[in-house]
Amino acid sequence: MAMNTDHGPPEEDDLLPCGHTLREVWEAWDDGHVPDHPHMSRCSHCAAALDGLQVLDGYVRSARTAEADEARAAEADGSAAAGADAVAARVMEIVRLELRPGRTLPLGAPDEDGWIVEAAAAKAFRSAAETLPGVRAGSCRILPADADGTARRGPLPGGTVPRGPVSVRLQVTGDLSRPVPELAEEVRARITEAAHDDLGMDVRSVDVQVIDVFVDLAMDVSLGGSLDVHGGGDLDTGPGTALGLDAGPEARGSGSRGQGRRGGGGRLR
Amino acid sequence: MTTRQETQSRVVEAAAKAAASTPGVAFLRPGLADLLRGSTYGARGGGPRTPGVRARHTDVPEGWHLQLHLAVLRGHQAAGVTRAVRTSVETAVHAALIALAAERPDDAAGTHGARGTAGKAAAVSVTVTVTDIA
Repeated sequence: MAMNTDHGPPEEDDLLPCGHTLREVWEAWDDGHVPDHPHMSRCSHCAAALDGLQVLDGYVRSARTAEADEARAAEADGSAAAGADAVAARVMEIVRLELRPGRTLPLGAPDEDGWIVEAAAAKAFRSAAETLPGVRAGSCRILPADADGTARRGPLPGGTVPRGPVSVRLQVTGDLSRPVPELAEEVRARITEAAHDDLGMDVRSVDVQVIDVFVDLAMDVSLGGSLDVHGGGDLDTGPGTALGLDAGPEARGSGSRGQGRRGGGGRLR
Repeated sequence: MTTRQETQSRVVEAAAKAAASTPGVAFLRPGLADLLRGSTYGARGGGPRTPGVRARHTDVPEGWHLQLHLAVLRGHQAAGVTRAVRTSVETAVHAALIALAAERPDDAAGTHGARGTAGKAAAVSVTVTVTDIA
């Protein structure tokens, strides 16, 4: 039996035996209200939860201190620094997924009750894009989409996207082993494939933003001073057609100047 | 007599076991509360908790709603795994409730959640959320 198919999994904070939630305790502590709170200042359950949160906070502070020490002593013991990094990464992963998991996105058919947090779906899409040589994936946003694939404003971060199609927006950087439009099209195809094969998610459009390009300076590449693809105008990379979906035709490229990279200032669409 | 809490415990255990043995499930993901309970409540004799599974008794329909948070193994389609988990968990929890009702005929009215109103089978619904691809 499917429940909540229209509104997603119900919001259910971790309820303490006293009736307060972990989130309330955390927020009260963060705001400095616990000592004056008529309930939390005397409740053993809230106190126990607060102990745990303070342990977690201690881990975070220790990890941050270790990172700062590492930055000051670049040649210090690498294994200790790596250990601190691992603790920091683990703690922050838990906190991020627990308190800031991003949107909850629908998986499978409209009448099912399967979901995935945005962070996990974005991770899958970034990995898929990076299977292409010379491509590094950056920010990935997944938004509810209209039937024609047009992205529309969804709920606030942490909310639940209504069951239905979604739109993916991914930023990438790439080398110049192929033209930017071709790069965008290849990324779009990989994302669409991953949406179907790895996730089972109804992705109607994939917008790829090529935000930077890298040039192997050893190569004899002449860019003519800019990404001379469309001279700063908009470049329509053409409709994405993988899996027959109405993929959104968008690829933006903007170059930057610096060591090991060169690009034009044009905005490619 | 079986209490609602005992029934809930059986429901959660059955769901966790069924989900964890479903192909494609990497692990049931403990929430922050589970981690903290592990170091606080557990030490105070609160007993073990089952990470990644929450069960809530529902009045309409009479039965149980379960929320599972889990990581999917890479190489398995996430939607397919959630579908299999939901089917597996629904079956397992139904079986657990039937067994519990048979053990406790005194609970014919279903007041402890082992069965629905007037002895009908309790409804079971399952929400599965993928939190990671491992």
